[in-house]
Amino acid sequence: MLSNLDALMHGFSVALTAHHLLLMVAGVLLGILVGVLPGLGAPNGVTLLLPLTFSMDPVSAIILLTSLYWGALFGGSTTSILFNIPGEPSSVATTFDGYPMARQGRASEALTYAFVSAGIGALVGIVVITLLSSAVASFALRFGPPEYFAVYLLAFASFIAFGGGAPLKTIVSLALGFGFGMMGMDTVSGSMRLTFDIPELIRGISFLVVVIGLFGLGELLLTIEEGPEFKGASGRLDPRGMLRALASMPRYWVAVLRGSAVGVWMGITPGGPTAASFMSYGLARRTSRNGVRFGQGEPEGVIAPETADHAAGTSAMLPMLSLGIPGSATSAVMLGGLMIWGLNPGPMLFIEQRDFVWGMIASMYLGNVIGVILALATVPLFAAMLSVSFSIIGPVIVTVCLVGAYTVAGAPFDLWLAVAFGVAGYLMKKLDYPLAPLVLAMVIGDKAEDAFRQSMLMSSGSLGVLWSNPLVGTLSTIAALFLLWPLASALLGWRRTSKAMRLAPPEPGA
Amino acid sequence: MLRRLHLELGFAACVFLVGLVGLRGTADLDTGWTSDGPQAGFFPLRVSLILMAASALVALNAWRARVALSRVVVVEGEGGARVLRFGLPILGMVLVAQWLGLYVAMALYLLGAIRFAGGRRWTVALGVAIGVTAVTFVVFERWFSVPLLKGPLEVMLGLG
Amino acid sequence: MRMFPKAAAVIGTALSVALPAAAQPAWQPTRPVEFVVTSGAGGGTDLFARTVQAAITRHNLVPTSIVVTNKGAGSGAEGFVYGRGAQGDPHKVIFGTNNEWLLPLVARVAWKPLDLTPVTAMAFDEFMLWVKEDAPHRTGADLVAAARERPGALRMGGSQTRDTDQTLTLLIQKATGTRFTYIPFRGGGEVGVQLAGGHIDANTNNPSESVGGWRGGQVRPVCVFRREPLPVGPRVTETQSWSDVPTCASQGIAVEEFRMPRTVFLPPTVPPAAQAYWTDVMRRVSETPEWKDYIQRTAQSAALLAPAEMREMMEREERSARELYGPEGWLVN
Repeated sequence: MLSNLDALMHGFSVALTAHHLLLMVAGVLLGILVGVLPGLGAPNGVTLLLPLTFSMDPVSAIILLTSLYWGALFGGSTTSILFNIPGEPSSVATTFDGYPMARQGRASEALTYAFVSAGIGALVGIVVITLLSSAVASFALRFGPPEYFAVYLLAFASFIAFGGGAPLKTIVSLALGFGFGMMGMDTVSGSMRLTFDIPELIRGISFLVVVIGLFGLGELLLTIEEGPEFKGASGRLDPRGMLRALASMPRYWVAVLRGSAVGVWMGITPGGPTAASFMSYGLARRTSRNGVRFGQGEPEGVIAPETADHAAGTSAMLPMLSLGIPGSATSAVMLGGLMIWGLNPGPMLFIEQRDFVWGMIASMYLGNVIGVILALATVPLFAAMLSVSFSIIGPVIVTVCLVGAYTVAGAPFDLWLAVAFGVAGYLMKKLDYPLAPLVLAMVIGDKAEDAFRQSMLMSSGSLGVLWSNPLVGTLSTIAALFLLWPLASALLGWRRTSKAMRLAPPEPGA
Repeated sequence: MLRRLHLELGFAACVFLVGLVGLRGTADLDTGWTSDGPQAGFFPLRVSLILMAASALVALNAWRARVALSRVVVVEGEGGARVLRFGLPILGMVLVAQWLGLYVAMALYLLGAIRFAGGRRWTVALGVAIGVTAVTFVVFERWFSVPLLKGPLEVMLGLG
Repeated sequence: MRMFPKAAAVIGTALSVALPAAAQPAWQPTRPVEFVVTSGAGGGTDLFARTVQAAITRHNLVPTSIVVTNKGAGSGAEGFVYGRGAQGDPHKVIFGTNNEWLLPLVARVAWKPLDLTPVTAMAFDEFMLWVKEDAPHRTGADLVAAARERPGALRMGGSQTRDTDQTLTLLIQKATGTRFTYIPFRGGGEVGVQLAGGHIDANTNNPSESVGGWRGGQVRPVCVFRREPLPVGPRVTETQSWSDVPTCASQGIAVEEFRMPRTVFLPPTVPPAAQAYWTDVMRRVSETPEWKDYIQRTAQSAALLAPAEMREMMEREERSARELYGPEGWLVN
């Protein structure tokens, strides 16, 4: 560990030059831009800059690219909170409480909570990388298909099991998500599934298009129905809100700690930032004293997913460098970059390329601090957008959504899909179908299925493989307990409520 | 005016239909669990069946509570009209985009939506339409090299 | 914007015959070119296409700008279907492997191998048999003996199903009379890590997919599926280079040669002049230092097949694939 600290100091001496600081600022700013636009994401930004980096030295190149990634993670939260449109997949869970806060006129507050907690989460992730780099890498190697499956199951269980909502409608939402996620080519059998011989369906239905439709367009329809103007969303720049949020951050230290732990865990294991943010939100709702207020604009509901998202995003850099496991689309592109710069990801990178590895880790500290500051600086800018009349900003958001849906795969067909999911999102909100289970099922459903079927190939169809060693056994058992918990309490509770139901029909409504 | 009962039943029917289509899609897949574990159609079949069963139960629940649910109005006439006035132009934009490209469709949509649905002045509508389209073009095509859907106009101008 | 009158094209051709060095080509791009990559970002085909793009931009080989789009869904089917749909448009160049002609055999997809216009194959990626560093099997023969002892007990990992890795596994099984349990993953990098973690017993990764693991002492190559060992090059690990890896045939695995071409296609029915133009651009790319560096670093074998040669290879490979896949029940078309 001490040698790691030495190495980190060396890293700072590499990263702390005016040239590198300038690159960080440029990267973060560009990242915020691509993060804010739903159609562009960190992968676009990184591929854009990749040709530029061919002529740079690898340390500068990776600093530029990772800074862009941090910027995109920050920017993704902005539109989630202001317009209910997740700019990045991993900021879907931020909409659950961030958008309600914005509707109550607390947009500046929500953005501040989001950015600061994200920054803290990122720092925790980097500290873990710094101190435990070698242990983490060998731990990640222990994950085979059964362990992958158990991690997904755990993330899934901790979100679903602790959620509210009518059980039947939750099941419908989940099944829809799983079903859409299954479309396209099946990795394990190599056959086309549910594509009905339609070429447009070969690539399946993109999760991003679904999210843009369900959340972005669906929410616009709900807003316009209520009245021709944004209600409650105060456009006034509110520095007091920002200060209030900053001052009350320490109160949420439990949420921050929990979110960071979930995030680091999901970043090191193959769960990824998106699943981490959902899992953290689910756990927070269950264990927090404010749990009942989740979904109605509770700051903790913003802090929990944001911390986890960034902690996962940063800690996932370690398996990427030391093993070559791309934790996300962005790191896959960065891996391609490493190859072009003449570096091979692998354990030797830490020994042979100390300047590169530790320069990058040091730059992660600086880049995230710069990220928080720059992101906070954009709050007034974005809050001002809310003061523009809805008759103008509404149509502009529509075009941003549709452009975003198109860029996912460059397919005109996806425009129709986005509109269809917009209508579906509007109707589902009206009828109290929860949307989050659908999204989560789409995100991890097909990966979980692959891992499960790979495990079954290994064990010749026996479920025992999920308890075949202490690691996977523990994960599976906790996941199973999480899943059984609400089932048990639902069974008990159902008998009570069914008595009540005979007296009065279930009361619909928000 | 739309009552909750009708909407509940209608949406449940749609979900049931989705389940049915899914079921049809598994017809040519192996849906069993062999010594290799579950086959390609194993989960799709079960998900389709669960969808159909759950949506049927939702509909049944709604029907049992029909008296109460038919009293609840979910979409009022005025609000519904606003939704249609806002939503139909979006559909129009997607339709136009299929052959004139996204940029032209976008500009036309913004112009129409801000001028007519929004009731703003021509100058405002024109400014926003041209401005947003131009910024989108520069950001996507020039800065990020992400090509958007183009139509005959862009090709004619030598931009596509 | 294809507004070249025929006459101008004819004159162009005549000129380029007369003045081969300085003449305008008979066709050249007039608007931005799209490179369609039939793999996800970061995949092998992605690296291939981006290297070509980098070489073209650095040496100004194409007058217009180039955008790279990833269409890798369905083992690349998305990109090929897209290419087929862009009928007659020479501003779209499709990058792939042999999945262009093998995928239509095993999956129901909407193109036929000879629909697209072949341009060239620029390199062949090698396959190696890898085991974990501390595995008991020192040689290919050891591994085969272990597999023979307990049929189906050894796990062979690979990327995708019914793709090159599984085809090679099938060939190994046929040649040695053994059986492995094949486990498909999403990509070569993942397969390499699974081997390093000991979750599978062997894999058939390309050199570039596992070089990091080899240098780091996690996995080691047992043999290469090539007629002779790779040419002598710089050291990869402290003691060994790629040329020290013996051929699999010499280890008792009678699979003489198995390699994967890196291919370039154009959409159907493009003018022959455009096909010639892109063939020439790729030839010039293959002479750049960027390309040579890429070939060397990824331990591939450089090649430059003319369209006709490529067509012949496609037909030959398709025939032998049909023979191999038929008895396995893989064929859908």
